[in-house]
Amino acid sequence: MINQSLAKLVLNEALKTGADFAELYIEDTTSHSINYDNGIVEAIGTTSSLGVGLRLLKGNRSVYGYTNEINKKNLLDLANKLNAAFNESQIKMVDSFKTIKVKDLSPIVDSYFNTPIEEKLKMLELAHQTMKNYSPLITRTICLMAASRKNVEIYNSDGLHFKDYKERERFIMEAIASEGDKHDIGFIGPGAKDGMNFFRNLDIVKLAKETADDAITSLHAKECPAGKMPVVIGNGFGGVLFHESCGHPLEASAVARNLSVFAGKKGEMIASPIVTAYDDGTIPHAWGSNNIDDEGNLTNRTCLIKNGILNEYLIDNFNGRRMNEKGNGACRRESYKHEPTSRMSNTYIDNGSTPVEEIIKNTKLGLYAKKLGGGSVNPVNGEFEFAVSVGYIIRDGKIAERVRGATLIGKGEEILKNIDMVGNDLERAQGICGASSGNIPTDVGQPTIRVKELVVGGNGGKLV
Amino acid sequence: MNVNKLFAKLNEKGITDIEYRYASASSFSCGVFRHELSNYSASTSTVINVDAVIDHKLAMVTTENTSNNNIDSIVNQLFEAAKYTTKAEGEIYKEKNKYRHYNHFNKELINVPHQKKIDYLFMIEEKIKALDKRIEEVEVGYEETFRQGLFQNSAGIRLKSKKNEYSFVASVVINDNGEKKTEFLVFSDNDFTKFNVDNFVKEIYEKALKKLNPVNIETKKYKAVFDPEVVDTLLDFYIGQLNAEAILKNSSWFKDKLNTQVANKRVTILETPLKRTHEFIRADAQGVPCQNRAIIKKGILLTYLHNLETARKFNVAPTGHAAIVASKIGIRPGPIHLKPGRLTKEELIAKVGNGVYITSLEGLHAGMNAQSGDFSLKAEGFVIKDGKIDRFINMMTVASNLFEIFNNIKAISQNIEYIKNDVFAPCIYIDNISVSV
Repeated sequence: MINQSLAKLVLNEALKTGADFAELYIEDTTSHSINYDNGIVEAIGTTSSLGVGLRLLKGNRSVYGYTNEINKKNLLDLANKLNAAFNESQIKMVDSFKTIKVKDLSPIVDSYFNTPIEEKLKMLELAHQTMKNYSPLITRTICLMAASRKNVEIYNSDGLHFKDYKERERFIMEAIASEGDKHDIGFIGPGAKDGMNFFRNLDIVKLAKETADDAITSLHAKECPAGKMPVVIGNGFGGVLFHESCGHPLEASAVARNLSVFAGKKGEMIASPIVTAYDDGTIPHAWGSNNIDDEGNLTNRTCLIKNGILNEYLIDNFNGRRMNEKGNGACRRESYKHEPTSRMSNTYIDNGSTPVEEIIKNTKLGLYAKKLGGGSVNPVNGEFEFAVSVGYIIRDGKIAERVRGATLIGKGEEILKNIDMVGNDLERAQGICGASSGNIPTDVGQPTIRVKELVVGGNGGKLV
Repeated sequence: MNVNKLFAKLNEKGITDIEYRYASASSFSCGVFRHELSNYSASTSTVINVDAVIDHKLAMVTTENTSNNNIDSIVNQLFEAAKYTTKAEGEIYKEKNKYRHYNHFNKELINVPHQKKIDYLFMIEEKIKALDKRIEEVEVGYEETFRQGLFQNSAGIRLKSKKNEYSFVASVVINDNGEKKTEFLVFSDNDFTKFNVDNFVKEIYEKALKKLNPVNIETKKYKAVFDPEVVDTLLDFYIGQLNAEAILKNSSWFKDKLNTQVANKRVTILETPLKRTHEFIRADAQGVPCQNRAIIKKGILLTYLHNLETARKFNVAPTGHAAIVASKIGIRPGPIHLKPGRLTKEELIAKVGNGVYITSLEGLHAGMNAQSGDFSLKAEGFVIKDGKIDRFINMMTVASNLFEIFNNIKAISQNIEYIKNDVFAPCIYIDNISVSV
């Protein structure tokens, strides 16, 4: 995309005023989507982008800029605009680049982009028909099939050159159920890095039925009671709770600046001893995986918490400077328009040993948050909130009535210590994580877990 | 890209209904943390969006490659998209209209030296830190953007726009005997002389200070006052449900409610796209002129929000709400405001007597079910005690229903608080809000 001599010229221009590191990130992306609304192909979208991000570092200072008007003049202009942030003599120069061979952890056998559209339309129709036929209460279905392919090239002032290719796919299903004035929604959105194999291996009928069922049962659910109660959190997307309440505060962007509740706590017991958790960017074909991170480091299987003890943070090279540590493959960005920083990939609580039935059986009165909808956290004090998209009350050790409109709030460090049961049904689910370096694909995951006590918000009075 | 060449190429293929949108942005930003210029950024980018009606189908392509060399590829992609699109209701706007003209652009902003902006950041950091030893961390940032746009269609409509804007942002961590609270403040405008460092510092400090020494309250239903920023957020979700496409597809609470009482008589909701602020929009994504209008008047729903297609299906004039959403022509509301009432904020709080004052709602992306209107969200706020705002409340959630809220408003205050560039909004008073702690 950019030849080595131009890359060298731009980096050396950027380094002229004393930066100790410079990096050129080039990205060529094509995205394609088919929007299937109520059984009609409403739109087929193609979006393409090609741009360059230039990053300069000097000590604890970072300078970043980007352009998508790629030619020698614009790139040198960008380098000069950015190097104006420093005013010292040059301390580094690039002579040549060594190209690092990147191993493809998720080779694509059959690309979405080379597959005729007819096969994709059949899958969308199957999802639509399954949801629509599930019940007359389903009044609208929305299915979206989307994929992106990204060619990435990185040159840096350490003389390293990386080339990588990423292809990701997602299948989104939404069912809207309506009865009189009442409307509710079911949603599911699996994704992967596996080309057409991902779509072909999906159990579309099962997922579509589940989505329609979520919308209908929610329509008839009672409002969730409020107050403190034991909460059993389902596997898969339930892991968003760990992602938000613990994953974000373990990112170096917060830790290095002492803006995390977990800063300075490496080696300390921060969770219940039955909790072990990982961030693993190396899982083949997983939605959040990458061969290398966005500064060229190999991705890793990082053990964040081992038997309750804080074992490791997620570190990028820049924030690692404040921590006297090197990046561990966790530096990510949405696109060339974002300065990269420490982010999660596929983050999950590891399997425990308790069967799920036993967790439910041992809960006299509480909430079963079967599916969470998403949430957020303040890394400084660990305060989080999560929406429960599918919830039930547990009565006398049995799953009882469906409830709607529940939310969970608490503090990350408290919830981690209050996990008193970890199931053996680990699953991962796919989402988009938004933070300072943009929206990136991440897997969240966990087995079913129980938290002794959590604040549940809802409009249904007290739990009795 | 030469638009005429693009249109000519499509004309050669028998395509006559075409829309072209161009957007460029350049930005500068910097940040200060622990007495260092910790980040500094400059960028430029352009993007174009082309759609064309091919066999009655609307096909769309978005690309950052704006060179003339890309014209053939765009044309091919449009034909490929049209081939498989089954919806055959594409159209473009062809009416001749006069458009209001206003650019929210201040050329003086470009002349303010970057160093001055950086100096301000250091000044803000120093002044905040000097106020209180309990302030543990301060992070300050500045961002400036300049955007230019062009809309052109094959019916001869050509509309240009440009705007610029800057923001100062600060976040503080205040540590009071181990209890950490965070506060965040943004000031945006395009007139640099309007920014006052001392006022900014005072405002964020006072906001942070109010969060100290919080109290616990009981889980129960309360009388509640929603701060203007909260009202603004709820309005966005509420009005979003007036999307005529959702009405047609039977997925909105407002279906069959046109010209009926959907909200309390106190509620009048105005849309003001032509107000000369940073929110000014003269035309929507299809070139339809925008208008100031009442959407709900004294609780009665007066209109849905339309693009060309939904307006045709409802047999009404288009309302200027077309927007590019997920690679198609969707619908999006313009700037919305709740008409203020007569009470001052103090009078409103006094009227409540005892209750809660909600200043922010968090996690709306997941905790707001716009379809059902149900929400249950982490909130921040204060106790209202004996008619006055009292202490900050420890972690809580607030749960209610969007549609019920606008049906049950007991009172609306005057427009008292600035919430973003030139935008003012009132507080509202609601009964029976579930609070959980």
